[in-house]
Amino acid sequence: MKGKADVKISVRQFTILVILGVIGDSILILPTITATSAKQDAWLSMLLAMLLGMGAGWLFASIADRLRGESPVTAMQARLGAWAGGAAGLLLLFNFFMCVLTLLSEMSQFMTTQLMPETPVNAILIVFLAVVIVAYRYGLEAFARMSELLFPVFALLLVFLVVFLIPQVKIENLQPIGRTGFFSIWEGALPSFAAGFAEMVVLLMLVPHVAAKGKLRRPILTGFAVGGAMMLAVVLLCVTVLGPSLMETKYYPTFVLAQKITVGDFLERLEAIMAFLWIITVFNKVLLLYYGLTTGLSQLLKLREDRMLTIPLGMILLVCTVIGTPNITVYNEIIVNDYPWFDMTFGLALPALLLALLLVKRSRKMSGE
Amino acid sequence: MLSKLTILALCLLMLTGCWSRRELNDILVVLGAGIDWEEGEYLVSFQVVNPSEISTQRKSADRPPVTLYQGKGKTLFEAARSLTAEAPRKVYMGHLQLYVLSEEIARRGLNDVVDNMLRDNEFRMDFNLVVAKGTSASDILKLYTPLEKLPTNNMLQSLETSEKSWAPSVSIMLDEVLDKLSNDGTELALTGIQLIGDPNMGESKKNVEVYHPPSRFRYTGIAAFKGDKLVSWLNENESKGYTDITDNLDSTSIELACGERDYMGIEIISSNAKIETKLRSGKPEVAVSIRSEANIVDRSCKSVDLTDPEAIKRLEEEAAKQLRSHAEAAVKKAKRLKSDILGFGNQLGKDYPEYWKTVKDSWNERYFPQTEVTYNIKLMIRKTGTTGNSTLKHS
Repeated sequence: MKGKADVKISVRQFTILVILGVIGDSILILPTITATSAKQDAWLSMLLAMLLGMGAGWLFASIADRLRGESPVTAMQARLGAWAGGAAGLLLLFNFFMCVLTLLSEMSQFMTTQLMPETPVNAILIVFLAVVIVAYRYGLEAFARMSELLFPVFALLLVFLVVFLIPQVKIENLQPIGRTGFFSIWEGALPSFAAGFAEMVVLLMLVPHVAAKGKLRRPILTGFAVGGAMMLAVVLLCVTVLGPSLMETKYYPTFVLAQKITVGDFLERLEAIMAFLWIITVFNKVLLLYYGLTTGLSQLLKLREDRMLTIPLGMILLVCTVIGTPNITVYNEIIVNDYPWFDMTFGLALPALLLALLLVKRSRKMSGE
Repeated sequence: MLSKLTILALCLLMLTGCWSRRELNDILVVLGAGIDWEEGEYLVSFQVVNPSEISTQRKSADRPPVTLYQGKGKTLFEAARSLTAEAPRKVYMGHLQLYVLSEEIARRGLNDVVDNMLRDNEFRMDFNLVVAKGTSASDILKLYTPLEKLPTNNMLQSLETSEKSWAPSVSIMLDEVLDKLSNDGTELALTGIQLIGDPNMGESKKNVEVYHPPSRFRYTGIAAFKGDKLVSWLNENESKGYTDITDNLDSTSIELACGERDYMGIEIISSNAKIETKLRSGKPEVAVSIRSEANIVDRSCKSVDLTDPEAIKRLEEEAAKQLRSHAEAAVKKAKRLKSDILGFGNQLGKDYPEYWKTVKDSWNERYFPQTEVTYNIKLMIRKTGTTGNSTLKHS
């Protein structure tokens, strides 16, 4: 058994984890949310979110390059002392915890509304969490390799979706461009930015394990750009193929997109296969957040062994998911109105604080020398 | 040992398969659905496949290929569930192909019905909606049809074929219905389906045991909606104009009179339409451009000399005039109904979003009926069939 510090993932694996994390749950829910406010300009919202996302990427990269092999939780404790640093670390963990809840909730709602209406939510969550826990217990190296294996499958499915829908693209659905007004576009961009990019603050937990000689700025920004571009492609397809009304009406427009594929009357009804696309990304993101949560907690409490946390945490998550979002209306209300702000606070303000801390300490150290 | 046993036990748990699984022999595959309004309640009819009858092996042929189940209820769901009191299994809607709405339902408004379709997870977006004209939706679904064993297949194919090559019908699927019901500046139009002949014969197998089935269906004209309510039917010429302007027309026939009972038959082989909008001194104007290609297929007028390029030119002009009259009829009807089924407002909104914001609320009532429409119709005759002037002697 290797020591925790020896666990290494390659830069390539890191980039893939970031790409899949950015797409994560966004691919399922964002088209609806952006279209609700921005209508046919939903893709502009996504574009704006992507630009903002690159800013967030820059922020995360700046932190990552200054952490020097430390996890943000231990770094904060080292810089701020056990209590203040611990409290800051706890806030970060709280963010991961809430994010996992939203993802689990989304995942279970999607499965029960679209694919398996008679299956209880709990059953889906238990099986899903079991896989997440098993993956966690195999370790970061194992699941990073798995993402590397799943990524081509994901990319292939996405290309498949795009190529086979191109014949149905109606460019006129985009017109009039930019006429919903900046405010509406901004309103659509905010949740996209929060859910897609700000939540990826969790990548900082991976940073100590990336076997990189140089800086991490490039892999992080590449991951954000590729993930954002894929999301942009999906939103563009939604607008041009489905049109804004259908996109706004249906909870899962990407699923409807997959239903739309028909090639010569024989290649159709592929949506169940396409569902694999978002199961990969949602699973990946849940796993990342769960990793951040469990590892962070064990670092915070200075545990020698983090495996004993996995099952209890899983159980807490299971119960909180079911209690926190008793129905889809409550969930949507939270995700649209409150959650972006929560994400901004914990995914932007908190890292910004961390960065400031790292900068101050560094300059103090320099002047001390 | 113990751990191996545990793993084995866990595997056994997994082997039961999917929780919500439904085997093929547990479901009724619905191909056609219909809604009627009866005594203040929905009457839902599901036409389900009788699998043993359509299999290529083992034909008993003493049962119909499809069966109709009906249920009544205050909501569509209640109606759909109440039919399980008669049906042996639960219905599966994933293969639905045709949804027939009765005229009464259409006049009462489609929003409730469409909402139900959108909400259900089994409904896909790819089935056609039609309105039953002068008959109930359930009667349409009870029809024995020749050639195709499954009547909905027959109806669907007929709808697609007639849309392509006859014109006064459009095949509209659920996603388009939603689009038209949600967007400003465009109103819904659905194709009407009618039963012709002896209405009592359709339900019996005897209907297909003769050369000319006594009871048949036929697509007739287009139902114009305003909001989600049916307001009027377009006649054949208006329907043709509608499909032409909305660029649904592919091929159709035009008859040009020459003399008392003689007509030149012209086949439109392709047609492209474009709607352009303009604002002139604060008033919207619409320009409809149609560009068609045509062939000559009938010549009962001996006065027309098909070897003469001038004659072709004259025919082109006359045919274009007829296309124009169809288009005008459709626009006139739409204006009279104060319902912009042609989507002029939608185009205006794309071209002049600022102006559109100010007029969209009273578009149908005030602006659309006053909008000036100009037509630019070009029709080119390319071929005259395999002959020029035939040598037949005309009497």
